[in-house]
Amino acid sequence: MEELPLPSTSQEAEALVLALYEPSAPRNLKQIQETLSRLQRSPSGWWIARDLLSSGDDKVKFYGALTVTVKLNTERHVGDPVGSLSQDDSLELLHNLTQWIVRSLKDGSGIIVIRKLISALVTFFLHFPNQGRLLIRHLCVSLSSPQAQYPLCSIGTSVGIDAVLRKLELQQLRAALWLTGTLVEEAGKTDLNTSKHSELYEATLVNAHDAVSVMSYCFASGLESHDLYIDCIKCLQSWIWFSQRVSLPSREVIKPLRTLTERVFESLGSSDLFEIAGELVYDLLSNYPSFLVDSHYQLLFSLLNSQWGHERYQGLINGDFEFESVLFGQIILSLGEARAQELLEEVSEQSQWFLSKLCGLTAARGYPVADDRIFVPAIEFWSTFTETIIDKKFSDEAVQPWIAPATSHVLQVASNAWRKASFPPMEVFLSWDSSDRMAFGDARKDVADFLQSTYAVTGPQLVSTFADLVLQQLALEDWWGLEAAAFCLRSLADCVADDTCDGPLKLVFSSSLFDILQRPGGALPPRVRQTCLSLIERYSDYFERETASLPAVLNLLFSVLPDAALACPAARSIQRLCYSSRRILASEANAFLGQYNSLCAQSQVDCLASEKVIGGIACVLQAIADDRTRLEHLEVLLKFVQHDAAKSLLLIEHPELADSHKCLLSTDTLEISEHVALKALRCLASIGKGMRSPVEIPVDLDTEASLAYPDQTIFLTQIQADILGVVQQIQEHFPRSGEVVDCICDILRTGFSERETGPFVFPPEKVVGYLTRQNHPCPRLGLFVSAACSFMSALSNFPGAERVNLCGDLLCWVANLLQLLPEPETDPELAQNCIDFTNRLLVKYPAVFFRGESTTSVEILFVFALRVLEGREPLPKAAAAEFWASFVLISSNDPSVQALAEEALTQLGPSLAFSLIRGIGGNAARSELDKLCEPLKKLVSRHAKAQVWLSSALFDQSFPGYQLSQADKSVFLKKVISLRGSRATNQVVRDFWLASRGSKFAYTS
Amino acid sequence: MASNPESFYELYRRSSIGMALMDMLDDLISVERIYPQLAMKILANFDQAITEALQKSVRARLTFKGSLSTYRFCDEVWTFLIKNVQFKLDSGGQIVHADKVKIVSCNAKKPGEGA
Repeated sequence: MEELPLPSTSQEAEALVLALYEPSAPRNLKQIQETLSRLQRSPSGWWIARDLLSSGDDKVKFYGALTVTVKLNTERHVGDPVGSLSQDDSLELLHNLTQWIVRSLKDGSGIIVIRKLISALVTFFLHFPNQGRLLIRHLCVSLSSPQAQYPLCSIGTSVGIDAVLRKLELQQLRAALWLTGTLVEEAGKTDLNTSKHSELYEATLVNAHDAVSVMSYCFASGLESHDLYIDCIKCLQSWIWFSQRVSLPSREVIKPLRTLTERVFESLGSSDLFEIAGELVYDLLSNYPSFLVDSHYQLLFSLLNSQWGHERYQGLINGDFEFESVLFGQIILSLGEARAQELLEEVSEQSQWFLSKLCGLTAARGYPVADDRIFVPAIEFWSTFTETIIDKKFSDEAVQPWIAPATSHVLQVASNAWRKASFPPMEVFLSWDSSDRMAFGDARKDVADFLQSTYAVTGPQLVSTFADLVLQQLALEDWWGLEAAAFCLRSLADCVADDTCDGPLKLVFSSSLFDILQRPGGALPPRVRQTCLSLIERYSDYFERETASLPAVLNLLFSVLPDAALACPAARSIQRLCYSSRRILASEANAFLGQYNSLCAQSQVDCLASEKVIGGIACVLQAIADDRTRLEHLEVLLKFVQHDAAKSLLLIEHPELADSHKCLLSTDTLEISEHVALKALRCLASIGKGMRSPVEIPVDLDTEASLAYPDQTIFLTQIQADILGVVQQIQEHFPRSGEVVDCICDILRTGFSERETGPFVFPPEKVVGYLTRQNHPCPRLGLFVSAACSFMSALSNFPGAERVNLCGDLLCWVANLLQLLPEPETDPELAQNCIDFTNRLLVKYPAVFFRGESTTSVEILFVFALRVLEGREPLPKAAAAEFWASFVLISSNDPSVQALAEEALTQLGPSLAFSLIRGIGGNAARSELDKLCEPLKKLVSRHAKAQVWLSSALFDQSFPGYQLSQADKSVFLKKVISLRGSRATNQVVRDFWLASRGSKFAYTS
Repeated sequence: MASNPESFYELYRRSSIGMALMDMLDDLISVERIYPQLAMKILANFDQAITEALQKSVRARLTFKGSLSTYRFCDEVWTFLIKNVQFKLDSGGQIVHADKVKIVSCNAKKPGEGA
């Protein structure tokens, strides 16, 4: 873009400024802006600014003031500390700035000009704090006697500021306030705690006295002008926050500010000032309560108890949720929060009155969030308050007279909260936008949190209360009331740890609730049914104790499974109950299979629910004592899976034969067959998990590991073959599906942790055989390798020789997979899991790693792990760092293995050192440094030649940190070696990386 | 108060997302796409944004139970080491187990500013 010539006269400059405000093409405006910027930076900028400020146009004047600010911010620093402005220049500039403000106030310039000039004056103050020690006073004096020329040095403390202020007119007072506020705001943006800004701190402090005088005078005279009063509150606000950030002398500054704050409290009653005063009061109570003293609180309590306070409160409770009304409510809540301890301990008339007001805020008119904007902060307050009660109750052993009244208030809030948690009629709910609906759900969660806190205060009484409410609402057939009561009762489930609440729960679960829920096409809205059903899941512990109720509850759950809205929670409850009560239910295995059969026959249950129900039934089957019977039942269950598997294969060719099922309706035609196949596999995995022994079964630690897999029966072998048959069949027909691979790995894993034979505890050679058949281009091969990692952990139960062969086969397979991988970045998941596998094998079975047959594979793995250590993929890189740390640390009882390991390390040590040093020298990312430190630390602490290797790497040409001198590198090496692998190495490495990369990267610690 | 210049803890810079952000900023500085000053500003914004997002936007909850192994309160920072922890997630009651968990918690308000 062509540059415009710089204006040579002030008229040309003015014309250019005015052109900036005229409509024009963006290109032209950009050109003008650049020219003006150059002008501002040029030596003629000062006189151009002066001339522009003499113009009659506000826009031009504004630009003049801006130019002064730009000059101050740029030229001041030329050749610092003296700068381009001499002492005399700066005094002249101060005088000019003051006079421009005085003149602008007189000639009717716009506020925008005056404020910009004040901003320039404050910029001057920031750069020349010593010359602005009495800046506020200087401006006030200049404003009061515009004709007089006051050199700054002559304005001392002898000039009475109050007398000066009395001479000022309204607009001049406002200008003085703007300076007072802007000065402290800008000073507060610098770090005044450093010595660099000590002069600025001192100068601000000197101005504080005048600032208080200006604000006091304006508060006193400001009632005649709301604008002045508002400016004064804003100014006070700036000084208060400044006092919070910077330590100010209490007597000289904080105390007068506290006194002035009382004026803000008093102005709350004025409708014109409420918003600005209310915001300051609310912020003080919430964020700086230590600033307030007793007199402030008493003033606020009196205001709230006045006619004005009552009217405001009633307005809020009766549904006025406009901004000011909600702000009023927030002031009450923040006052409650600031005085929580006192309100709790002092059982006085005032505290009880105020707590009842706080309680009332949870009962304002309207639905939470959509209408009632105060409910959520109010319930959050009560949650915190209840926690305070709990803390105090359990930390103080003395007689506590406050507990009864406090508990009474909390129970009242619980009662209000129950009503508020009730859903509106559906048409109202649907009329809300999505954020309001979500926020309503969040408000209910807040209620649940509050009730859980309340339980710690009241104990089981609260469960009884809500159990009674459920029964009452049931009798009244108030379904939404029932939903809210059930929701509250449900939220207490986590609090009930034993059978103390079984009485009230029994009343609920033996009532007509189940009958009503089971009634076909009943009047109950789906959400009510969902919440009531979730009670079963949340109180499943109760059903484990009250086994007599189990048949009824399970019948109910199975009966609602076809209902799409209830299927998932019902299936979850079935799974949970079957898992925990399997021994009691084992005799009913046939009934379960029958129920499931009829559900499948009608194609009524969606896939997710099927998966859970079939898993639950598997838990029941697992508890059958007789092996034969158990396997017979399992065979029946597996038929359902085989049926799904067969159907999935059929659907590949004939997708039109798919059921009109909910899941399938939302699935693409091309994916229907895969969807059904995945369902079969997931059900299989769910059965596998269900068939696992419960975790609480005792483990005999003395049993010899080699007995883990005794002879299997033919029947069991057949079942295992059926399971693997389904798996293989589906994998063959869906060879490109990563999800299928994921499910298969899940199925294989289910038996790894078992200590006894079982249908999913496949013989290890079968598992190894299945895994090692997997090869490129199978998707997500890394998952199979991850499964191999888990399998290896389970192999500890096996005799040594067999284990060595199995692990050796897996090692060979892993190495082959990596050999065929073009680059580690091609498949980071595979790269990471292969290194992870190698690492585990090395740590667990070093003999396998170093046996003769593994040599080729191990070489491949070493080379790959070194490449990855310098690669870009973070996860494989982290795994490689861990592997090398293990490798350096390896030790074996077998001397031959140990000798081989040491030989390997001697061979690989130099290469490892090169890779590590190149990473630490700047090639690695910042987040990877801690991980790279681990092998480095181990190397230093374990190997005598580490220093030589590291030294070679540091002084090699391939070292990336060209900025570092030989001495820097030597110092680093010395430090690392002397630390001998301690934690401090990490910081040394971090510093070295930073030094190597350069100061540009020191932007964070 | 919007005008109140607040400072935010830098502790989330050590989280995965914070580390990833710093790596990305390092990359941008390396290829001279940004200056370190901008990186500092971005990190300061990150400190604020993540604190506020976690405070205001995250509504998911969980409960956990475990054995308190160690706790300390030093320089206004609570640290808890908990063993055998079971996390119960809000949705669906899924349970996640962890052998050891370290919780570091700082006061949401600066020292001396009330509870």
